[in-house]
Amino acid sequence: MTETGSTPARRRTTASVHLWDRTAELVITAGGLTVLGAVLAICVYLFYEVAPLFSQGEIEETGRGAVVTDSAASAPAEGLITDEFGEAAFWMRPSGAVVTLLIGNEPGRVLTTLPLAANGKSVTVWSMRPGGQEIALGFDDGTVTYGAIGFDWRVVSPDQLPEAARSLEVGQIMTLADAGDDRSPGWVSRPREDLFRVSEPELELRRPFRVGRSESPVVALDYQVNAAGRRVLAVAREDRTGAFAQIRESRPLGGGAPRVRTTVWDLDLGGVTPDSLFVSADGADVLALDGDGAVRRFGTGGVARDEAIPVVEQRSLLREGEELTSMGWLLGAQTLLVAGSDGGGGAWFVAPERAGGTDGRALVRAHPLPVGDGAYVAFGPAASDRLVAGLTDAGALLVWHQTSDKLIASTQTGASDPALVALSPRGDLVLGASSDGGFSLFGLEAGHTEASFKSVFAKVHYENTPAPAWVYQSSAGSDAAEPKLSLTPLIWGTLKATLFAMLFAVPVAVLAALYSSEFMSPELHKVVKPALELMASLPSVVLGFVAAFVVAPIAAEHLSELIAGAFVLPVVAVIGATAWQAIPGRITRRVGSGFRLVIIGIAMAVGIAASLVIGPIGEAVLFTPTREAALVGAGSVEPVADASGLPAFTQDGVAEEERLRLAPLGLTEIDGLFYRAVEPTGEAAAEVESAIEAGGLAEPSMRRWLDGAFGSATPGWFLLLLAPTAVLAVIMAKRYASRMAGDSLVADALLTLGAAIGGAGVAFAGAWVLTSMGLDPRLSIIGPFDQRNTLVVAIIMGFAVIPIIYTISDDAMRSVPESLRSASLGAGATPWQTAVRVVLPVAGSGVFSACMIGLGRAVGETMIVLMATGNTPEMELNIFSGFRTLAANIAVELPEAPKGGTHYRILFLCGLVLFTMTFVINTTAEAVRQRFRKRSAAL
Amino acid sequence: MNPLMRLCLGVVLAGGFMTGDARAQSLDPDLPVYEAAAGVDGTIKSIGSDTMNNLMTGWGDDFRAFYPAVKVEVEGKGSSTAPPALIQNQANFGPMSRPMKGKEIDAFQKQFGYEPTLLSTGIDALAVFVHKDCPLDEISLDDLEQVFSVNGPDMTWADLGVSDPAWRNEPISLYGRNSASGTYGFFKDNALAGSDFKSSVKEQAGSGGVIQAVGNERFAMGYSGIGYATANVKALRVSLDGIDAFEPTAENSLSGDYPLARFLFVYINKDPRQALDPLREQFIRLIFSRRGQDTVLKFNYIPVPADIAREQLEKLGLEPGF
Repeated sequence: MTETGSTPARRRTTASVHLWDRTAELVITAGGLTVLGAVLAICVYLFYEVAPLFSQGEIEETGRGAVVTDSAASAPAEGLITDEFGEAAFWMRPSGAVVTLLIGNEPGRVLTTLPLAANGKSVTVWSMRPGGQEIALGFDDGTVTYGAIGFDWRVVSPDQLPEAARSLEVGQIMTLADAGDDRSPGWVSRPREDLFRVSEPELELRRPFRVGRSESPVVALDYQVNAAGRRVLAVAREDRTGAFAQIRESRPLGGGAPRVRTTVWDLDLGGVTPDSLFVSADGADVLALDGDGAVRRFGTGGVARDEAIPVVEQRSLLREGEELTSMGWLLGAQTLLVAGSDGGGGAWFVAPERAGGTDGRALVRAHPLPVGDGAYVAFGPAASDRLVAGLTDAGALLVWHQTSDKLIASTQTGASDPALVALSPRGDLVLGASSDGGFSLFGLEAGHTEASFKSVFAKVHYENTPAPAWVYQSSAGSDAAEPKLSLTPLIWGTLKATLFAMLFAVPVAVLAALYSSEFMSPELHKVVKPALELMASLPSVVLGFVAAFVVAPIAAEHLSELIAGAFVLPVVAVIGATAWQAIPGRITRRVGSGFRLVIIGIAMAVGIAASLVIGPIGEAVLFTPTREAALVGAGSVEPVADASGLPAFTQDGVAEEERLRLAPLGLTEIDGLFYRAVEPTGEAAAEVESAIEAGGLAEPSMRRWLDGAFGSATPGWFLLLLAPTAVLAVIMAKRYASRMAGDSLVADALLTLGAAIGGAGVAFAGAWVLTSMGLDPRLSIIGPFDQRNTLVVAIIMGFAVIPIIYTISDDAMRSVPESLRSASLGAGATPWQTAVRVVLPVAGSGVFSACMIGLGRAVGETMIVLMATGNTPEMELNIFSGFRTLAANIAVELPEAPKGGTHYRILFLCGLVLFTMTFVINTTAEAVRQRFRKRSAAL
Repeated sequence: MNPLMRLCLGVVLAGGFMTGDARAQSLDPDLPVYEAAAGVDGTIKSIGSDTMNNLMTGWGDDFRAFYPAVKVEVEGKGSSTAPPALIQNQANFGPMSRPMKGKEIDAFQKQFGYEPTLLSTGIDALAVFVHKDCPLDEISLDDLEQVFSVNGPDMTWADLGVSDPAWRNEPISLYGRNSASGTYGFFKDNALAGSDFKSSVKEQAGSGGVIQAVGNERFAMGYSGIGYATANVKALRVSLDGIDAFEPTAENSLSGDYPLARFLFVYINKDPRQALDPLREQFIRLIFSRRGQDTVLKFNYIPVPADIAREQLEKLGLEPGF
């Protein structure tokens, strides 16, 4: 476009160029918009899949009626059990289980009454497992029984039905009696045009048996079955005796009669019969409750066959002056719901607690109950999760999930005298009833009950755990397990993996780029760069495989050498560089950069060899067990007679984090008693010696030190402090004392060495101070050693991201204008000063982007962490333990998650969190890069 | 059987481990000899248990010996993958090493109106494996719970009564299956009494992975189906009460003495209003024939007695004929 002026007509841009121009512009714009749109669409889709997790459920009344009782004088029902489809229910009464229809033409019609009592006995008390399905009965002669109760249903073709039932309308039901079949108390329903279903009530009870010797009437009883099919039963009788029984039924897989093994203990009721009894499904605890909320807890653990089970804890579950209005187990029979007349109560379970009962456990109020209108009069736990329906004396009906504390739905029943509530076995129907036999049926759309912001991100107090915690354990073999859906351990794992990988990769990659772009000859660079880029093409699954089956075992075997390498290699590099300077310039200038690389290679080889030598030596110096530790390990100990001579921290028991402090003192603690190492004498001596010999108990071992088997915290702190203090000391020495050394290389080397030794001294002093303050690094960044650990993953994942960071950084540095380098060199700067103070800052934005792209890759890396770690969702800083990342979690669990379910959506939430993390990282990176760029543009 | 599978099996047999015991248990003589039928065509598509992966493949190979035109596809990522596959009609067989959970059955019922049909096709002894050099020989269920459950403390081998000084102070390194697997669920229910696993249990994606990891690490312990045992590992005897410990053999599993024995299930979607199609009927007949149960033996699982086989066929409305 310089030909202006004399030329008559400017050469016109041809139409085709314009056309191409326009086309290119359009294509590029469209492409850009598509990318943006795609990212946005992914984001929207993730939100769309995740949103239902946090939405509420819905409840709606679908029908009501009143039980047409057989006799007006009959006692009111004490419990409700519905069928799976909300078509019928059992009205449980001690005299018998009344089967009632709930929908159809005659809601409330009684189909039949199944007798519970037999052989002249009468039922004095009964109990039902959460969600129904199994009941236990106590009789007036002291015997008990248990068995299954429920509705059996099957799908049939119309020709299997009586004539009259075939023309049933969709959504209606008809009793078999009305259809002309008098033999069965069942009914026919037609939920869909093409579907006929026949349902029948079923009750199957064992033969009554005696628990213990007493023949006094049973007044309180509870019965549970745990996941493995082990049954437990607790009874209290009128004569103030109680008993606890464990029943193991095993059915040989090869067929044949089941084997029943029953073990019975006495319950030490202390002459007071409780109002009600509760036994936890694991059989560990029996709770005896009275009407004012006072509870006695019996601990069955460790009680011998012929002993009575003692009370281990006594307390009240209610506030002063309140009356118990309702109580009952949740599914799994670990959590007891308790409600008081004054709105008090809560969800209680037994958790490990040192200051609790005499068995080191205590009842804790882990969750509150949702506040409804009035006091709860009945709870209806679900049969397949921790969902529960509660009915208040004011007729309010609330449905909530106890683990996630999520209120699903609430409504008003309008019942005048509310008495009972039940959730259907599938948790999609709620049946509320008043004591006069009136009932209302509600359809429930519960949604994703287990997920709430609290259960996904905050700490939750789970059953059997001492305190609220973040736990991820998404699936289980049975419904009774509490879902644990905290994403926090996964986010933690992702950050941990990324952090350690970047700590390894960034220095290596950026320094490599600096070297190759600034100091390497162009010919060599042409070879090295593609070679490094080739590393990026290694599939990460291969890297993961290598990490799991090659690197991890080797790293575990040669831990001390590996750690030594981290210290020795940089030192060898510095020594090598200093030695290079000692060679006269006329020689060094003549050799090419290829030869320099060979020298570096030799230096590295020397460094590795030195690490292999220094590793075991360092391990021997720092991590050799004392004689006492070896003796403790071999079991040569004696009880400490005088506990007052022990250090202060041991006085009120030893907490988990204080345990490490015992080892250096030659002490050990077992079950609250202290033992001191003792030198064996006589015959025992040889035995102990051979034990120490065979177990390598006196040999240095970093792994055993990490596991906390021996030693104080000092060597650990020393190693952690050594690098920073030594480097700092050398830098200070160079800055403030280099004039003393003058130009002499030897003096300079001596100064550096002296400073490094001084730094080590400071590190040792610091380590000693920290240890004497009672701090131990084994509780934070280092700790018990696991073969599949973060260190291994960090190294291998570092390998995966190094090529990317290297190649982009290298490009960025090479694109720094040559004029800047020339100016710097011309002004008298050395090539190193030029590289670090001119090239690196100018290329800063590029290097930073490189690191961020590497970071993005590390955050989302899946296969390496999937294969090289144990995928253990732990939350520890410890570099020697494993972790589970969000990405690996999705890969592991997606195949098992049913589409549209809670678990499936939780995995999408993992994806969304991951997406947000990378989005935030990339946006921040871009913002920072722009600032760098502005600064370097000003140059 | 493909060459790789043959090789794996060869390794297992060469290891000589457990094979003697499992092989000693012969087939129930009442099981019928399989006879080919006419009109069998289509694709056998199985999605589910990883434990039963080789078994399904084995039956598939047997089946193709009779019906070369039939295609067999077997996918085994874990028992939990079977219910979704059956519900979405992606598979016509859903092998599972645990029974379906209530919610899984509910989801199936919601879709089809009826429940899936459960067939007990074989028996597996779930074994607790340690490194072959491990001095420990037996373990009680209570100890097993302490070792793997979150309720138990971190344990060393001394806590299990190992006195060998080279072992006693070493922590036990734990391996297990991923949560999708039925093995995970079964072990959780039966060995841990339903409580959670320690978060330090390293989850492996396959049964073979557990064995390999345990064989590679001296102080490791893991659980897996007995069929995957190699020469580098040893299966512990397990006791219910700490007194009588039993080996995971066929005899002990059938008698109920070995506490961690379980059925290997195959779920199918059978409409109770219609007869089964010939493809599935013949495949199921093959499973419960001498040939099918011999395949069960071949993979070191335990065949079902004829009584159970008969029960399964009757469940589907098929005439057992034996």
